[in-house]
Amino acid sequence: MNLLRAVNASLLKLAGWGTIFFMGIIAVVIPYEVFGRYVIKSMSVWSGEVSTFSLAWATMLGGAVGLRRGYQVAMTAVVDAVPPGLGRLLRGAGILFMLCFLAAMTWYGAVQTLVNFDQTSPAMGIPMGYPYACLPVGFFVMFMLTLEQALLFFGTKPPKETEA
Amino acid sequence: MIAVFLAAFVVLLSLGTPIAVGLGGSAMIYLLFNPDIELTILPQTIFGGMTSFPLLAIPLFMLAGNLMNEGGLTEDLVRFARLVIGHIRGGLGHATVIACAIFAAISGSAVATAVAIGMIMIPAMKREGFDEDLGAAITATAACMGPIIPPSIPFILYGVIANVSIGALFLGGVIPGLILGFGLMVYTGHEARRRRYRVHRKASYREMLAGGWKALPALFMPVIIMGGILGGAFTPTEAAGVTCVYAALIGVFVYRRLKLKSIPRVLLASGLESAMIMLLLGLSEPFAWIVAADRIPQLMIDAISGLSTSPWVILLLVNIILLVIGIPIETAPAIVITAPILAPMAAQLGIDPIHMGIVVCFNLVLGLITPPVGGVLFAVCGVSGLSLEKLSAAVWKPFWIALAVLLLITYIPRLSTFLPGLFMPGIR
Repeated sequence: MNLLRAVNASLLKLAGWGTIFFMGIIAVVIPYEVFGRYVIKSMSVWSGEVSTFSLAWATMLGGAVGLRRGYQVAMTAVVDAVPPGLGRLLRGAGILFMLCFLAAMTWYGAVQTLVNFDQTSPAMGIPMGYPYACLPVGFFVMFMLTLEQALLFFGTKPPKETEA
Repeated sequence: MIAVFLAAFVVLLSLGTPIAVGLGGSAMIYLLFNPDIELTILPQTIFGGMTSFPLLAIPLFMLAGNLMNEGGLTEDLVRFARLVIGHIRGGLGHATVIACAIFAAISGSAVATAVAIGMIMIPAMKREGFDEDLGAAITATAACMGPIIPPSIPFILYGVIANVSIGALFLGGVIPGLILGFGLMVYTGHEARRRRYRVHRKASYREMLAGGWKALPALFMPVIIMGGILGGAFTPTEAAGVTCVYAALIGVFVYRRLKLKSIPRVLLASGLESAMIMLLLGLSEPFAWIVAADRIPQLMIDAISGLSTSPWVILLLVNIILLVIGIPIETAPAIVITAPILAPMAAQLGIDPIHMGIVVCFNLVLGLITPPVGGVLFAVCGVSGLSLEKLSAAVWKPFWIALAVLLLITYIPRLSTFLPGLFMPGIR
């Protein structure tokens, strides 16, 4: 568990810096496009691809960091409304499903990434595997964070209900 | 198959999984029951959903709002609003509404508006004798102008999903947003008279001019955004990018409160806020695809047509359904879930797509202040220190005003379509 925690802390740090990096690219490239059009009178062919691919990366990495920081909205009305025992059961089932879903997305995302290394982007001509790689990477970080959450959830006893 | 798909979605939401996982997970379960379609289609559609150029406006407008806050522009805006209108009865409440309206013309988010303005105005209103719950309730409701007055994150989302011009939706939100602001000012004036609040001295023209001069860089931002879009100088995405540069430059060089070392923190905060919405959008793409493939909008139309064929009755039903959906679900996921169903429905029923977009977004934004749960309610509780119970009790009256405005824009489509028709006549 300690090892998993340490690995996840490093993954979160990397994902955080990755989010900052790709957000920085978006914040520079889009205004540059306007600058290029009106000031230096030259249109760049790469700006659309660089910014949208950066958006995909910033979304997947930022989504992973946001998962840990509670940014991902959920509807907890049902699990909060039912008796605590049933609520814990439902939450546990939710965490297990998330693990399965994120594992599947990591796997199929990796398959899709490998397939797309054979294709090139229309404007820049780079292998499409590079932008697609944000999916397995982002889903993998989310999987690791959810695994830690699952171990914590299933490893601790539920708080005893206070007797009336 | 539709039953399995919808049941999976409802069950996953009930398990308390993030809504993004509920959307993607229900699509995965649907595909598992459909062996003809390979699961690799999921990452493919998710990637497609995240890589659209208009969507770049979302992180950029979030960044612009955060840069503006960090650069200290908000304080000057609020000071200016107080100087202009602070002297009439309930002046600080009116100033809050006006400050929210101006901030809304720069930021596209209600929570950002509530936090930025509430942090300054709620303590100020309390100091000057305003009842704390009234001040907080006015701030919370006025913050809903954030995503109605352009720019607007919900309009960008709706525009991309429903294939409606984002610029036209931005314009369509101006009049409904201003009507909401006006309604709130009438309410504030009424409450101030009823509670016999003090009247403050009027600021001299010299003070107003000085305040206006200091706030000018911030007041100029909406001109860049809407002027640039309407003048055809740039797209909404480019307007957002230019706004970021402008906010950063005046934060560093004019106000000198934005430090270079705080830029990574601002970028990360904006990245996390936008990733929340973008991830939802990406994972909703397979969901929307299944909704379309299984002709769910058509089934909904058939079901509703059984009740009535009048677009006005249908709009009323849609409003009621959306208000209920908006209580437990935040605006962005609610738009992501409902737009793929409602947009084709509007097209079939002959409802103007811009009108439908404004009604849907306005309605779902109200979910942010519908007690007992709502992003803006939580944000205002955080900045005011008021309990959720107290704020929930106080917010009902201004909420009814917002609801009246919703009915008004539902049944007078010209309020939403007049400005787009005037400035962008070719777009429908």
